Amino acid sequence: MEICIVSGKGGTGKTTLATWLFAYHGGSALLDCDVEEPNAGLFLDVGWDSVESVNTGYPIIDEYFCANCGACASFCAFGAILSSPKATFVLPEMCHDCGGCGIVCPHGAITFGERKTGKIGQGVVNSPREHGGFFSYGELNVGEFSGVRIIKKLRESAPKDRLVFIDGPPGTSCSAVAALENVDYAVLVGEPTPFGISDMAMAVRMIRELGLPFGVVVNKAGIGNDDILDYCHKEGLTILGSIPFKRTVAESMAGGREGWLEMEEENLQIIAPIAEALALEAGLSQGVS
Amino acid sequence: MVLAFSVKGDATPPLLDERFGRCEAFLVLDSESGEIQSRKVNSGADASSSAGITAVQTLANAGVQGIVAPHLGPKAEDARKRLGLRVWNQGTHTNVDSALEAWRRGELEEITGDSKPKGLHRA
Repeated sequence: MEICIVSGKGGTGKTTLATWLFAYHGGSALLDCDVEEPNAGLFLDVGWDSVESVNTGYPIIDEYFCANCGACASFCAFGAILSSPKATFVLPEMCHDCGGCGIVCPHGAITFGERKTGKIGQGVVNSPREHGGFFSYGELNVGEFSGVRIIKKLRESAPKDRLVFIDGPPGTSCSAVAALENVDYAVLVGEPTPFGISDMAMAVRMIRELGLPFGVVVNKAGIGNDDILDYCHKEGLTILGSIPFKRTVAESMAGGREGWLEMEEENLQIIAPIAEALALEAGLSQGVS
Repeated sequence: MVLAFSVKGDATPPLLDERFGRCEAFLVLDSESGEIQSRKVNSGADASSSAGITAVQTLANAGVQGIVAPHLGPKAEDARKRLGLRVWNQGTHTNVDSALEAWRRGELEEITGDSKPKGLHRA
């Protein structure tokens, strides 16, 4: 079963929730799909199996065959090829590697090269709690436009034999959709602030368009008023629980691995009812540890 | 020469926009006769990125040979160079008529070097 955690607004508490649920469920898997800013690894001690670069394709135009007809440029939905009767050239970093330009070229002038777009690391988690679970993260190279290829690769290499938590990217862009697609259940982390609620509404639309069952966790509960609860009630959303706005929670997160270890008991007490509600709503068949 | 200008609003003569990639519209005219061939609303104005290069491609598609514009960013500048379009900086001119006159008299500076990102210098 795959559970993806998204938020809409950034900094709401996705990684907090994802890493705490992961710690709670010993032996499970965690994928850090926030490839523009992966940070879940800061809370774990991982025995790394591999770190590999991820490649993406881009068109190479053979000037000998190219007639500057512009068919490729017209076709490209991403502005990766520009063409005039005088010249045709490629902007590789804009390419989404759909392969369409190669198909529409009437002169056979297009072949495809590969270039690095980022990397993926994976390994076994030693700490916290002698976890024994699986952790992988993706990291997009600076200057790249899209993390979708890396996220898809992360999802493909996720273990199929256990519970998988996906720490999604913020926002509602292609990257968030790639992290959410086809999961069994989504958890939407909200915070009781005006920006939190307004971005949450966009995430609700996205999840509904994807047709996924989902529930809400309210983080930093107490920092604002009850507008978020009113919103959830109005939209008929399931609230799985909340994480309080407490200094100890902030200190735990600021402390990374050591922070968790210091606050482990308290954190587990906070996450337990959320994990139980999630197990119920998502229909987790296995017992919780 | 088929010339394009970045324009805004609907005054007569048309006012020049201070931006290229995110201008309201492009005015395409014949430099000799002054006859307006088309006024294209700039569909790339709201694009999240690459507005400049999209604009260059749009103009290239329209058969434009020269552009009279405000500052072009480095990517748009590179794109227009490679696609074979010439570009002149519109300087302090505020409407198409005065810019076109200045262009005819060779008073506008033609851009040939590399471009650095500049923004609108309003800060």
